[in-house]
Amino acid sequence: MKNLKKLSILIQEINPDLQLEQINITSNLINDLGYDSLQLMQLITLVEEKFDMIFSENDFNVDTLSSIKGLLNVINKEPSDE
Amino acid sequence: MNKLNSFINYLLEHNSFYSEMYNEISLEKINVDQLPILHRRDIRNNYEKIISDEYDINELNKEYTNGTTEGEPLTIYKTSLERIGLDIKLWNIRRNLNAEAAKNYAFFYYNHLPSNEYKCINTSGCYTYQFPMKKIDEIDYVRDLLLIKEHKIKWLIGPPSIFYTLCCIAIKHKIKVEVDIIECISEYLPNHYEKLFSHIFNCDVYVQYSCHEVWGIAFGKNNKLELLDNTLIKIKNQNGNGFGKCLVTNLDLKSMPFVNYELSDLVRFNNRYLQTYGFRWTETIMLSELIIDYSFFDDIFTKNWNMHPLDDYQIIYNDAKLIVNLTKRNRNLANEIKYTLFHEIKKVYQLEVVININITNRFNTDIISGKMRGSINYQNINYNDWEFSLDIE
Repeated sequence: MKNLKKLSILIQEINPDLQLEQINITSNLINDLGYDSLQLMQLITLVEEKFDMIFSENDFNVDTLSSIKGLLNVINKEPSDE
Repeated sequence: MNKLNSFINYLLEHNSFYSEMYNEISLEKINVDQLPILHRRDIRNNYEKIISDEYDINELNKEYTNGTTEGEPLTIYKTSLERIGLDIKLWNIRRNLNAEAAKNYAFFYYNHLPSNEYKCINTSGCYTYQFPMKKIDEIDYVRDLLLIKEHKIKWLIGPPSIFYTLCCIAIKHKIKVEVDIIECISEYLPNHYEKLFSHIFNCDVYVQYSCHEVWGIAFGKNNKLELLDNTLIKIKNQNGNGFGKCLVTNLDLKSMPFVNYELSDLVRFNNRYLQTYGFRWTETIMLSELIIDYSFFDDIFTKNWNMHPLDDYQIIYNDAKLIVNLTKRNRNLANEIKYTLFHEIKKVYQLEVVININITNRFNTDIISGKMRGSINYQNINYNDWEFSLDIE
């Protein structure tokens, strides 16, 4: 929940027209929240910075990156040993 | 090939256009070589039928090509997820090359009417600039350079002709701007342009080969481009030189699929690297009494001197004569080319054509599309470009 809230604030920061209530675990950034390519790329950059993480090659597909659930799954992943 | 198999099976089940087209071929062991070619006219005549069954055309994003190939734009459709997925794929390549630089970039786009407007999006200190290519005044180019410098923009994306102009302006006004990467799109990047950009901006120069219909196709440098994921390439009209028309397949686009889609660009492909030669295969040189296919010149230059279009030469023509823009500074070679072209045209077309050789450092762009072309009608030369000509060795 904590990460969802933090992520929602970042999503709103990129697109201030959105209300926090609109953003929930089932939302799709593109289909539901109207994100475009540039906003999605900015969000990915911001998420990496604020959550101190890097999206791996496997995570770097539009299905994962465009869904709140997909993003949270990546954020919540345990750090690998690599 | 498994991905191709499952994609074709998807089309057989969900796409009436492709299932009809594939009706007569054996699909037990699917190979891209055996699949029919998708032409522009197929899209123009059947665009609704090409949409896969599970998609509602009214819910898809409608896009248009710029129409420079046939003079009339094509209508194409994509879902929002597909459209953004294509952008994300390219952006991932950029991140892998230089993640920091990819955060701050400037993009130059073609515009019909001159403009000094630009757009800047600043998010958390990351700058994205969108600049029109055709400016009102020289000072607008200076402004672009200064903005790039001031905001430490490290990645520039645009056609080679705009970077050539920016190089000229940077030298003329003594503006030193350094970036990390220049990414060339839309036009062929001649070798000597690549060296110039690298020198003036102290950067690496990459090429993104793409078309509006399927977006990114290949990416790389030194004209050795690697295909993007889920992209297949085949060459048509191989003439012994390895050159041919580019046939592209994109395995990501399901709503309006492109399988063996014929592009008019000239390419070479050796199963690993793609080399582009950026002009239109369909271009012809139209003299008052004679029409010559561009491939006629391609054959002569490649076979005789291993010279490549827009690396080494460009054909300018009007009703009465040909002018060959030649970058090789060798007077004997120039005479040999003049002699050979004259006699080959006479032999094949039974006509004597006046040929002039212009030894130069740069190639012309056309005024219609703003692009460098392998051949340009003299009347369509973009003369504004010459204001910024530069004498480089």
